[in-house]
This record gives sequence, structure tokens and C-alpha cells, in this order.
Amino acid sequence: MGYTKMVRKSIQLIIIIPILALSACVKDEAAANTPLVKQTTSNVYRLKIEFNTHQTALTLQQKKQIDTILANIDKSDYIQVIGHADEGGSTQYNYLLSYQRAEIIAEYLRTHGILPRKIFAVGYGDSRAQAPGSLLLSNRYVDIITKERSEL
Amino acid sequence: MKYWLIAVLIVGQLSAREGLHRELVKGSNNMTPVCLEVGEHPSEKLTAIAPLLRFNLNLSGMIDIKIKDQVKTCPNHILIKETASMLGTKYLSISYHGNQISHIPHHKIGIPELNDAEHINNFSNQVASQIFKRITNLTGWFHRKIAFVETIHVNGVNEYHLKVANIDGTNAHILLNSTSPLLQPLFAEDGKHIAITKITPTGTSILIKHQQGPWHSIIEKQGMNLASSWSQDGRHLLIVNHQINNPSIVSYDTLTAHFTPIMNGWSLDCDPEWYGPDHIFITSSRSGSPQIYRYQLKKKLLERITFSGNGNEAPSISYATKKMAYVRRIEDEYQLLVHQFYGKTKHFKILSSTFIQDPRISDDGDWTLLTEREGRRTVIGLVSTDGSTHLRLIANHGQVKYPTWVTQKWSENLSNL
Repeated sequence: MGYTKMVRKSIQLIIIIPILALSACVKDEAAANTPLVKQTTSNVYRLKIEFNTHQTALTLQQKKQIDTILANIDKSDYIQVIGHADEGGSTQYNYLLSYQRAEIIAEYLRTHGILPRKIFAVGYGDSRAQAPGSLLLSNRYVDIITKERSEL
Repeated sequence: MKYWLIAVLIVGQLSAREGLHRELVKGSNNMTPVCLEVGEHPSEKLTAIAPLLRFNLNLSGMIDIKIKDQVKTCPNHILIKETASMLGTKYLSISYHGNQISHIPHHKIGIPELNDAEHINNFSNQVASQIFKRITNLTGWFHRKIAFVETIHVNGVNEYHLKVANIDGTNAHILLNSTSPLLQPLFAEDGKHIAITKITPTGTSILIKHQQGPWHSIIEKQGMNLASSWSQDGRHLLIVNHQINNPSIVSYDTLTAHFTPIMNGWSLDCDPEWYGPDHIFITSSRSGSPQIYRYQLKKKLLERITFSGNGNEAPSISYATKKMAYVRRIEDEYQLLVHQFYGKTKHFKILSSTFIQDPRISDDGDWTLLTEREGRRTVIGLVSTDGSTHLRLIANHGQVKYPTWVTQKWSENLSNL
């Protein structure tokens, strides 16, 4: 009886282990293929720029991310840059930090040929965290919303 | 007799359903056991007040109300009787007997007009606060009003309500509605102004309401403008103003409508809080992580107050009692601390949690309101400054944030709104 059970368990493990390994590979591949700039709707770009704690300055790689959408948003009449922060700070600190993140990207857009009068930087603090209650990098992101003159 | 009792309980529950309900998270290890009794031949009103009193005092976490018939002996007794003066004025007469409370002198409380369940509820809250104060030496909070921002998700859109309610959740009403986020309401101590920050699609605005007047905007422009603290005289509002580079702190004079620069740092300075007319406390990132600093306005001197942990922030000050509540973060742990500006011991840790934000210490320094988390939603916490008692005030719908004390003068004004 004990021997039969052991054989069954071994067979189960032989089947399960490759499946788990395969699914892990698929997940990793999916993560690697996730676009850095995701267009959530026709006029909302979600930049997956992950800021380190207290970080507001852009790295070279982050600038390259923004470059990929410059041509698209340049055509828009109204560009709103919205910064977000995780909950790891006071309310005011998070709002200011999220504004600084939005502003640094807005400034980058301005210095790369987009008319300043079209750009509005705002900070939403920790009010729209992707994962409320956690200090994950995914809570420190930036949205760019573009609108045409007819939508204003 | 039963009519009053049933009316109070039903209406009380209905009111609470629209606002908040309370849960005791942690009570004191040294609760005072008490049997609360009413005198012989009580009136309908006294009969209605007694269960609300027992309920409130039990929820205090410091007094353990015993039911006389269910315990062999009551170590302490509170006896409440209704008495009348020669002129016919009615009083509640309260006396204390027992080893732990017999030193408390007998006292009387005038009975106001009690026309409906709301009046009875409010009066029993006042009586509970007075009894609580006598037994624990801490100010009772049962009669206090608080304000907070409630967020409700309606048809895919967030609605933000600035609400005022009794701390038991009853008598909740909305002072301001918005589809844009509302932050940190502030009630001036003189009872003349309320300020709140509103995030708009193109920036932020600071709204002020003067007593029974309408809301009006004092700043509305791009960037970040955050209302932060009223001066003790209610005239000056500290504001964090962030356009480019780094935020600056300015003071808005409600009499002249002028803005005066206070600080213009090279780091992320925020959460300014008045400490008398000559000092402010701030959170600043100038040392690399958020820490609390004291700034002397006349000498323009900045002094660092906190040093430990990953961050210390959001100072809230009781100027009358020289105490400051603030939040400390150590890795994933949040702590609520109280710093006292007298005596030898400087810091007390009064709460540890997975999330604490926006502490607001009461003007008497005995209690602190804060935002904490229950699962994915935020709720209001209420903690005694000695750390012995912790309650939660939970919204029956949506989530609540940014709790603040409604000052006594505002409570009087609000009853006229």
C-alpha cells in the first residue's frame, strides 16, 4: 500500500515539476516582453517608469522610454502628465514627490520640442496606487493623458 | 418606557449606517471595573440614556462596565439619579462608590431639552465624557466632532465628500462634494475658517470657507499647493507651494489676503505645523530621508528634531500641552510616536502598525486621530496618547482618510449650518 502511494507521488511529481518550470519560464518571458510604455487607451500612455524611493531624477534608460512616445504625443493639443507615489510617506510628501516626478517628465517633454503651453504636470500622491497598502515599485508610475482640441 | 429605548437604539443605528461605526481594537490592561446603575423610579429619559452610557464607557477601553445581576460583587458603583432644584431645573446627579473611584466627588449635570433620539444621544455622549474624565484623568472624546474625507466609487468615478460627524458616527453631514481628490481638511481654532486642498486636472487649489459663507479659492494655479496648518489665533494658514525646483512654505493672512514667504529650501519640505507664533515644525528630506525639523521664524534657525528610522514625518502639535504626534517608519513598520517638549522622556511609541498616516493630536493632547488600513481600504484610528487604548472608526460605505478634530467653536457653528 505504502509502496503504491510512493509510486503515485513520484509520477505526480514527474508530471508537475516540468509544468511548473514551464509556467515560470512563460511568466519571465511575459515580463521581459512587457512594453515599457503601455498605451492603456487611445489617449492614455502609462509610462512604466519605476522610481526608486525618494527618486525624482530621470535615468538615461528612463529618458529612452519617454523618447518612444514623443512623436505620438507631439501631435496632441493638451498633454497632462500625472505622477504617482506609493504610500510610504506623509500625504503631503507623497503628493509633492509625485508632482516632482510628473514635472521632471513634463520638463523633459518641453526640452524635446513639445510646446510648454500644452503641458500640465500634476501629482496624485498615493491616491491612485496600483497596489494599495504596499510600497511596490509599481505604485510609483507616471501617466500621460493626451487630448485633441475637439475633446477639450 | 420601552418606546424611548427602542427609538434611541433604532435611530442611533440608522444614523451610524450613514457614517462610521466604532470598533475597540485594544483596551487598557488596567481597566476599572464599574457597575453603572440608575436610581429608583427613573424617568423615560434616564432609562434611555443609561444603555448608551454603558455602551460608550465600555467602548472606551479603560472602563469595564459590569452588569450588576451578572457579577457576584461589584467592586465599584456609579449611581445616576435624576434630581430637581427648588426652581424645578432638572439635573443628573452622579455619585461614585468603591475602592478605586470613591475619591471622585459627586457631581451634577444639567439636563437640556431632550426632544428626540439625537438629543438623547448627544447628551449621553457628554455625560460619558464627563464620567470618563473623572475616572481616567483623560479627556473624554465621546462628545467630540470630527471631520474626514470619505471616498465613494460611483459608476466608475470616485466621489470625495468632506464630512463632519459626531465621533460615534451619528449626525454625519457633507460640507463639500467633489469629483477631484480632497485632502486634509483643517478647522481653525477660532471657529472662523475651514481650509481644504483640492487636486484639479491642471494643478491644485486651496479652498477656504468662512463660517457660514460659501467656499472660495485662495490659490488656484499649476503646481502643488497644500493647505497645512492654522495658527493658534486662526488668522494665518501655512501653505506648501510647489511650482518649480523645490517647494516653499508660505503663510496666508486671512485678514489681508496676502502671502508671506516663510521658507524656501533646496529639499522637499512639507507638513508645516505652527508651534506658537514664532516656530513651525516641518518634514524635510534635506538629510536624504524625511525627518522632522523645528524652524525659528525670527532667527531663521533650523534644528533637526528626529534622527532614527527610515523616516519621521507628519508632525501634529498640541500647543497647549506641548506635545507632538508623528509617524516613524522602520522598514515596513509604521509607528505612531508622541514627543513631549518638557520633562526628561522625549519620545513615546504609542502604536505600531502596517500603515499610519496623517496623525492629528487633540488640543488637550490626550488622543490622536490617524489614517490606518484595514485590508485594501483606509479607516480612521483613534489612539490614547498613553498608548493603552486603540479604536477604529470605520466607514459603512467607501473609505475614509484625513481625520481631523473639529474645534469646539466650530462645533457650535456647525450646529447652526
